[in-house]
Amino acid sequence: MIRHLLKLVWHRKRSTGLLMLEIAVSFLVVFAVALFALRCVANWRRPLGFQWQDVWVVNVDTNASTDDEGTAEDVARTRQLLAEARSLPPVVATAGALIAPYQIGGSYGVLNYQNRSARMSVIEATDDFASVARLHLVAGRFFGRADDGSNVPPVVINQRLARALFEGVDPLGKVIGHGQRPVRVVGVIDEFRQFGELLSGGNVLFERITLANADERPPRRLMLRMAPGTTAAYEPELVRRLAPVAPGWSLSVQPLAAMRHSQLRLQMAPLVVGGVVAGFLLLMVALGLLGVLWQNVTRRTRELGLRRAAGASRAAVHRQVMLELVLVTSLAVVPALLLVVQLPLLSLFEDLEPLLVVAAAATALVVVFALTVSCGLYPSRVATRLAPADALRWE
Amino acid sequence: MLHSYLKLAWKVLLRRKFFTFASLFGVAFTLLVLTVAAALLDDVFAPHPPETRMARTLGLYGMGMTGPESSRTSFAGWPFVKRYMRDLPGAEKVALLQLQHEVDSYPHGQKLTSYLKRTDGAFWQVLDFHFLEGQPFTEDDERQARRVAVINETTRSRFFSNGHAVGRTIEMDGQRFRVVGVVEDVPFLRVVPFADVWVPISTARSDSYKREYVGDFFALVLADPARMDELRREFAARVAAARPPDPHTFTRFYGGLESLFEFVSRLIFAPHFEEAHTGSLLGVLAGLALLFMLLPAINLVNLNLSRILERTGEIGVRKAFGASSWTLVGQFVVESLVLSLLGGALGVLLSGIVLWALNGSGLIPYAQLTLNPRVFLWGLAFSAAFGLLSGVYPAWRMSRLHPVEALRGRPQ
Repeated sequence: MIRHLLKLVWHRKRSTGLLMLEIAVSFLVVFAVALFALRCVANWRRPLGFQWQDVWVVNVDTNASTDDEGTAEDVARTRQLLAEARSLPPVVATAGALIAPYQIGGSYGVLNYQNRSARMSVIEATDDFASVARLHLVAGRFFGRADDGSNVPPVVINQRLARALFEGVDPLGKVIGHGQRPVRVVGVIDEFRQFGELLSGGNVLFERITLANADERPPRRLMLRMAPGTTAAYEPELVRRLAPVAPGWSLSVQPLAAMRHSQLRLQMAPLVVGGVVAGFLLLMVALGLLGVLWQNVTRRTRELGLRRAAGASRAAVHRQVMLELVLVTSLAVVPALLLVVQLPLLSLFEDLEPLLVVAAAATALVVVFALTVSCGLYPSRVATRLAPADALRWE
Repeated sequence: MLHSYLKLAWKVLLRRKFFTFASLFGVAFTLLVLTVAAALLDDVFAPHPPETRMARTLGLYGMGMTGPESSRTSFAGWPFVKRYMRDLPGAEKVALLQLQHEVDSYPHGQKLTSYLKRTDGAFWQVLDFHFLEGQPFTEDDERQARRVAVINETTRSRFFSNGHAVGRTIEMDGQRFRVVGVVEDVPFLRVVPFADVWVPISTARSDSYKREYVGDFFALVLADPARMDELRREFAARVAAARPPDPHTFTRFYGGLESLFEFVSRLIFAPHFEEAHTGSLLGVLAGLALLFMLLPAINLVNLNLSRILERTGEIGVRKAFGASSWTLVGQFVVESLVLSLLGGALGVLLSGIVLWALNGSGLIPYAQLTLNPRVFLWGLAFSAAFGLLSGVYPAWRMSRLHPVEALRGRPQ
């Protein structure tokens, strides 16, 4: 049966060729959107590594053109700002960092341990960062006063970085090269996805800001954990209290929740636009397929009438038409599928999980088959509606 | 001849309503997406008020310093502009403006976030702002560091609920400014002029900008259009000859006068300032448009093929009476052009609605996306290209039918 149908399809290869091309391209479109969407969903379900609720961020702009150098005065003033903020009743804990979560930017570094090396995002933060952001320690501790005496600076890394560098070895206490100067791992946190729930996140390394040395970069963000229920009405009061501590600096307050909201909206935008466009493309393809299949079947009315006359039941003819369609769809999808399978092998995209590719391909398969089959149902009914005698005479 | 083709095309469209609907939907949707994209690009790069003199304006947007071990790429610095952009050939005015940044104010106890941009006095002469009340601040205001501000319409209504703003004060980033002028809102996508509030550079809270050769400024040069090349060459020579203040870290500058489109192309393709890359950005945009048109085009080819297959009898008759293949190709191409122009008109109409909704949604602050003639012409060009793309192949297929086979109504 299948071989016979294949022969039928082969005989009409010129007209089915284009139809197959259309189906294959539709498959690729659905696949791309599905992959992107599934990736977002998968990322959303993984732990974020910190708690954004009730955290406010004070952006500190010293109005100097470069952020690279600080003076002893800058460091002292930052310390005063943090102390002033901590003294306010709704503030539960304070920390300083060079960059807050949900902010674009930051600095990157490369780290070596024996013959392995990894690239990671470097976040400079004060000792209280762990309690403000509610980081999840898996091993060891966050840096703090205990590190004051040591001459090797302490760092905390996330599990992903620990796996990349130490595969199987306990990272605690290891001294690793970071730039020119070595650092010691004192703790491992489970995760810190600084760009939010939708992105997969990467290797992260926390470096300590002591706010004691004049030659360190003072933090540009103050992170304040507020008492639950503190409303935005407190923002002006906070600025009013902090501004006199640092005249000449520009301070602006933003709840982390608001930053998260706008960042998520920004990251969702391509998905929403792509989804809407793909949806309309599919609708267009559906209309086109319906027209083309209708036309194809109508042209074969006499052929199908002959089968009826030779004794095939209406259901059998119906089945033949649908099977042909499924066959054409399968033939179209196979090369597209082969193309798509290359994606994880090509490693064009970092950390593209093979499972996601499989899931997206499966989604695309289901959508494309559902599309073609539902577009074929009506035309094949039309083709078998005529009585065999009429069909044979049909012009 | 064309007249009867058009009449025939119209009749064919009316005969198979479902096919017509499916084709029109595809064309209209494709054109809708392309036109909206074109309108967005037009809003970023084409001359719109206040940037009406774009053909006469060049900018120093990105620049940097490089040395044996490190390099720094950023924007133009104040001392660099002051020192090396004086007396350029053909230049009439040089304006300086800082990148805008967000500042918070608490006028009625609740937070208002505005974009603040610091500029010099020449900025108001190089650009063509429309003042609703008052006037711009002057070069003298800038020299004297007077705390004066020009605000946009939206800021006026947010801060001063009733009427006039000129003469009143506004607090921004902890500084108080006297409002001297109110201008119409500038769309967010106009990166050069965009802001809510414009104040003199010299009112900055720190004067460290005066020491940064690579900083966060844009410089605009309003020049004689006939001497643009000379101007670019002269500036390039000055950049090549200039030496950074700290010769141990950085040995030379890079950067040049260019249009915004050239700047953006270079940001994308050659962030390290090798040369202009305008061609490749245009190429990439065209490639994306073609890629997007691929599926709709295949879809339309399929529909057109089916539609023409129905008419094999007619083709047979015309061939038997001596119509050449070329005549038939011409006829079918005209038919598909009619179809795609109709669909295109529909698509452009729909995109007008989408743009209007986008402007109203506030997704892009102060968006004024419009279907201006330029965008409309793009839409027309897209639909014609689309019609040809999807019409030529089916026409060619049908024109090759053998008349005898065609008369029997049995195409291969």
